[in-house]
Amino acid sequence: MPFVYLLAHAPGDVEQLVLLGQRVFIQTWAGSKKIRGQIPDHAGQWVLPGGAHGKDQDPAMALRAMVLAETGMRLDDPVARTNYDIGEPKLHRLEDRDYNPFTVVEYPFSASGLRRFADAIDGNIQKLSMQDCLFAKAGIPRRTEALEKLGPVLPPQSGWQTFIVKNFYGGTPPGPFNTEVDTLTAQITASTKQSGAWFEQAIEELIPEGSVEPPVSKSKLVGLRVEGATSTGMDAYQAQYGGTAVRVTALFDPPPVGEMPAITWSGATQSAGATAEVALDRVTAKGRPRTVKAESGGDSRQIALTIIPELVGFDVENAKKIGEKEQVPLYAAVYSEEGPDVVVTLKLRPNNSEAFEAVIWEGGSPVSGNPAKRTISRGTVVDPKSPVRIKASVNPEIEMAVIVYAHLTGIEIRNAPSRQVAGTNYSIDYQAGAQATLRGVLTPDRPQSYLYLNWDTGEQHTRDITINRHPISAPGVFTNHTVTQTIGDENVENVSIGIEVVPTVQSLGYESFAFRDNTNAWYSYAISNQFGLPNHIPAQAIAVTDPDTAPAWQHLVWANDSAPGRTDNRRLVYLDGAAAVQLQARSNSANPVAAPLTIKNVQQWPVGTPQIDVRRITFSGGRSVLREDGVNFGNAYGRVWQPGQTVPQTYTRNTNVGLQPVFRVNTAGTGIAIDVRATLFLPLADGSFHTMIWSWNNIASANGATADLAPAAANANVTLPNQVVHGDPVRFLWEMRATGGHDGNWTLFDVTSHQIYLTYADPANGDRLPGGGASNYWTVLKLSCAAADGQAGNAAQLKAAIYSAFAQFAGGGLDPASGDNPGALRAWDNARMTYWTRRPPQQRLNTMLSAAPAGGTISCACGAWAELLIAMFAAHGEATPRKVSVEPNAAVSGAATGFMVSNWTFHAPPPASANAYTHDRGAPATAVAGTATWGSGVVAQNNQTPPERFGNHFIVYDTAGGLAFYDPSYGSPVVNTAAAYVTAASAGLSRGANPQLGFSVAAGAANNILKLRRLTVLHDLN
Amino acid sequence: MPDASIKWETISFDGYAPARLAGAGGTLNLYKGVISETSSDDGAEEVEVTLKAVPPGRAASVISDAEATSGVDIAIGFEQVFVSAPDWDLSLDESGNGAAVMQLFGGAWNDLLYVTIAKGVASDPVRFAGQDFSAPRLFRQLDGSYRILARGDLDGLVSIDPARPTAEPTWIGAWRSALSLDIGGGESAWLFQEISDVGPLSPVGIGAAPVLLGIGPTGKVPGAGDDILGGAPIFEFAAASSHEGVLVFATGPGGIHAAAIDVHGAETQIAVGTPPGILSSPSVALLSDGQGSFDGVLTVLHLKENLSAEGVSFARVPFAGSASPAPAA
Repeated sequence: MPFVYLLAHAPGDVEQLVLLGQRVFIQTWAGSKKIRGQIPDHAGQWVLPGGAHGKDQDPAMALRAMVLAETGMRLDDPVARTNYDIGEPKLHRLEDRDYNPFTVVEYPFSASGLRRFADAIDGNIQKLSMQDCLFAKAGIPRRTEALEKLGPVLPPQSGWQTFIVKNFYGGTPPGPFNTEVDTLTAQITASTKQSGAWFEQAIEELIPEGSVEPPVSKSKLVGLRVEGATSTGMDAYQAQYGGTAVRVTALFDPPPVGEMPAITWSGATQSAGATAEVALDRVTAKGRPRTVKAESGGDSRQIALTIIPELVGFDVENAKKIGEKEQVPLYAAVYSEEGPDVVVTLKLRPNNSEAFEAVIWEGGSPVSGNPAKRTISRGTVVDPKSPVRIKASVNPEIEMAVIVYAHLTGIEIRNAPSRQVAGTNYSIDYQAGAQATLRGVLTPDRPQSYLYLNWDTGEQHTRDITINRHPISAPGVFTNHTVTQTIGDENVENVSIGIEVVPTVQSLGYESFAFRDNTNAWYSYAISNQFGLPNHIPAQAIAVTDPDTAPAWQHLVWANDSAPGRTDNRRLVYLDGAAAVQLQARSNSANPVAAPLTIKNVQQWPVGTPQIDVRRITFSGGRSVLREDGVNFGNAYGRVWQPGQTVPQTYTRNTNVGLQPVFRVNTAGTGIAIDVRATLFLPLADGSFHTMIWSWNNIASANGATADLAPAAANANVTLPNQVVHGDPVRFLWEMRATGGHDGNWTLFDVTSHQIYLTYADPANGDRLPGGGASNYWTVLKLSCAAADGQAGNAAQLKAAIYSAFAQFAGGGLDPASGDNPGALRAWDNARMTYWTRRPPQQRLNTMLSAAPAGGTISCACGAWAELLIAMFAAHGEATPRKVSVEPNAAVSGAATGFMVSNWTFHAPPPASANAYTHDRGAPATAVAGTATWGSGVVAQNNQTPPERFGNHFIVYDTAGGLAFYDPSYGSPVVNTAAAYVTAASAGLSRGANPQLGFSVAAGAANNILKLRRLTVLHDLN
Repeated sequence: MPDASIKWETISFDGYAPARLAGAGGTLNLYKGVISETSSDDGAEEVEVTLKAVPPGRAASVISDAEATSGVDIAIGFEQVFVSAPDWDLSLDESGNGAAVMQLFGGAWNDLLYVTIAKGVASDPVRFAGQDFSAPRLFRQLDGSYRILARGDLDGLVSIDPARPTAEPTWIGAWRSALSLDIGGGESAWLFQEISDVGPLSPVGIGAAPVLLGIGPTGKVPGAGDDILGGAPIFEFAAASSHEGVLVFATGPGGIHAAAIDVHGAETQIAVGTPPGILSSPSVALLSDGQGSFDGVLTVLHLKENLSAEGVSFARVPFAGSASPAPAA
């Protein structure tokens, strides 16, 4: 195996210097990997670098590879050769005394170069990553010293084994049976004793004794290498202020061997060898370059180096950075004619005038005496596509741009009356189908100003948007609208406004118990606690709004409100004493509409007129109401009313009412004739009033006469309203004045109270009603008119409304806790009509209405309830409903003695049968097989626990407008077929004293287990 | 005649209307319907109405002869779906034989139950259904058999032959109530109230209507009648007859009325005064006065507000079948 070694040497002061390396004792790296450790050749000895190589390898190349691996140094790198002054190599083939060949490659160095080379090797040895590091250190002893260093290494005093234990095993002996330590000890013993003869031979033969003059270099200066600067052209470079110094190295060809040729530098300072440096501590004046020049051996080379300032950036005043566009910072400035300009200050390093001399500006306006600043005016709104740019260049350059936008100061409401509610919340007036405009308020207000506007409604680049002036907003709920100035992606300004659409108050006036005088002003009278009236008799005011709807009324704000918290459009003013009431209403923030009401004292008799009151009133038109009390049952109440009497009257809707009053003269007058008028404010279902006026003018009264005044009968100025009315009570307000007076002269002299019931149509004779069908009984009218109050539609709606009086849970009429139907009270004595609460119950309407109550109630059976419903229908002209009997269908089971009211449970086994009596009656709340139990919950009129079974039952059947089956005893929902009634009402059939139960409807018994018959014609309905 | 001429004896009465005098001679007693209501373990209501004689107490002097015997209970066990107080009528002879008729409540309308009574023991009931029957009254025909007169909801007054339970009732007239009494000589007296057009709504009071009298051959229904009791409105009336005539006892809005009517229809008002309170269920029977003539025994119930009775008043009036009743005893 051939061997090759490096012989690097340099001229020394006395002798040549030789590069040696000291081998490690234990090698810990091999093949670029950390190893446990092995003993290398020549362990611990000073040797020449190199070693064995492949037979086919070029020894010079093999040596360079081994030197790189062992020392990290490249012998053939031009830069290294320049830096370390490495001369041309020379290959020597030698033979030892035993004719063993080996090769030595000689590399001449300068002394300084060899020193730096050895230092560099030491530096590389410390790097753990170095491959195959066989050296502990490098040295450049003189020739003589080098020869002395070669050869075997003496063992340490403690011997090689102790050395191995300490350095291989870390000081811990490996144990008595370990043989490795012995092997290693033998290896190191042998390796340290190896001969250094080849190294001695190479040095002695190839390096002469004594000092050797360095060879004269024949190298020529051929160029300059520049590091730390950027080439900007042929021999032109640019470096930025403040960086690491620019290094300029003179290049020779061939590279000098031995001492570096002398170099004379200008514009730079020589640092080491062929290198000079230029410090970057000041910029070159006005951006012009400086010359760096090297001269050597009559040759010269030069470069131009410009040192530019560092462009740090811009400081921008009076504008806001909003992003970047094409990598140019973009600023936005709000329009201002008088405000300061946008000021752009360039920041440089160094920040001195010399540096700014290098800057070339584009855009903006210069600032006198301040080369660092430029300004941009804010007095012109610019197109967002063409912002104002400022560029500062020292080659390179920096740039910024400014957009001046209009100032958005608010939102203006146009095309609708509006007002500020609070802060940015405004109300606008409702108008059906109309729109209002919201306008962004801009300075300046020019078309280009709108380009940045962006509404939250989605509209852009416009100052105006439209919003609906409808529908009404919920009170206090403001719809927000925001307009934003958006430049790029940045929202630079925005303003918002809250809009509430409020109704307008069209009018505020009185619709009951108030009058207008000759000046059209409202007045009324202090009638509370007068004329037998209760306290707190109110006049009712109504506000008319646009729109005139319940949601609109919720916006009303009242002053002098008698009912705060109510959300409708009506208010009451109590007529408790003479007063001047200033009732006001407004919608949100609008000016109030007032309805002043002067409440006057009553009976302010005009001078000379007789002082009168109402002695008697005879009604005409309409019909008498029939009495129900046991003694007078069926007698008419009649048409004549007198104070203190209850004389209810009934009329068909939309007919007229005739009144013939008789006035008692309490204090005679002086012969002055009087006018009298009676006003009826008839309360309607919707809360309004229908006003009717009866007038008697020029009623003569002789001087001193006290005889009753009896004018002729008169009809009202208008007919009754065209709807069902429950007028209980209603009051006539009687006013008088001296004949010839005006509307301000009226004084109220009496108030009379009445019960007036307006029916849907003239009454008809109801089916099977006692007495041939007469239905004008007080209770019948009172209950039916209350239930159908306001009905003006069709017969179906009328009947549904009337039947609603009987509704139980489904209709909400009954109290679910008690089963009470609070409306089922008789008119004449307020006795509560019930279903089967006491036995025997009343079977017919006449006794239902007239029989003496017990404990305040009158127990009635189904026949009475059926007749009551029929009578209530008939009172309004509906004569088709029939009284219908329900009983077990003998065709299904002749043994049946009763039917089971719904809500029974059949407990299996056996399963409930469709056609047999399968179960006995079980105790309540039990579930014994073979029994059926009745659950409570079938609530009837004013009775939570009506009977569980019946032998028969009466309901009401109607054919007009489609079949309908009513069960007024229970008020259960109307059904439209007999089968549906059977299914809903019954659970099955029963028979016997301890009833056997069966024929369960739930089990599929035919829904004809009950027979429904019209009694009058005796034909089957199912 | 002053009211003081009639002495009313009032005793307590626990029960409901009606109360009827039944029996004859020494077996004449006032009967009431006693409702026995029981709830079995399974919660079913079992209702039975028993007709019981009311012990006369201090009224015994009015109703009884010395040898009078107290009445026996007549149990008529009907299943009633409801606990209630049905209207009924009872007819007994001195031997305790006779018949009874009673309403059977169905909830909406009422059927009728009929039993025959032999020595105080009732037979199984026979049921008559088809319409709402009220005010059932028995009248004994000459052959001793009974017929039922009742107000039918559909037809007005009908006659039912208990021996033919499936036969259609015989229509009698547009009447609301009627009694038929044998007055001898092959003639009967019919007392009835017509159904007025104004109806339940009689202008002078609910359920009140004049009582008419028609006399004719037995088995014939009079087509018309004449007002009795002065045409006064009457709520309820009762009557008893002999071959001398008819004794009528009635309640109305104006109080109670009594009259003796001879076989020719001549009427003599009997002043009986008016006991206080709500009066109901008048009943009348004849007792021999031991002198070949008869006295009339009158009873009337006093009702409480809840329609249950709290007392019954007894009075005895002379009835000789003449227009001139004897002075009070």
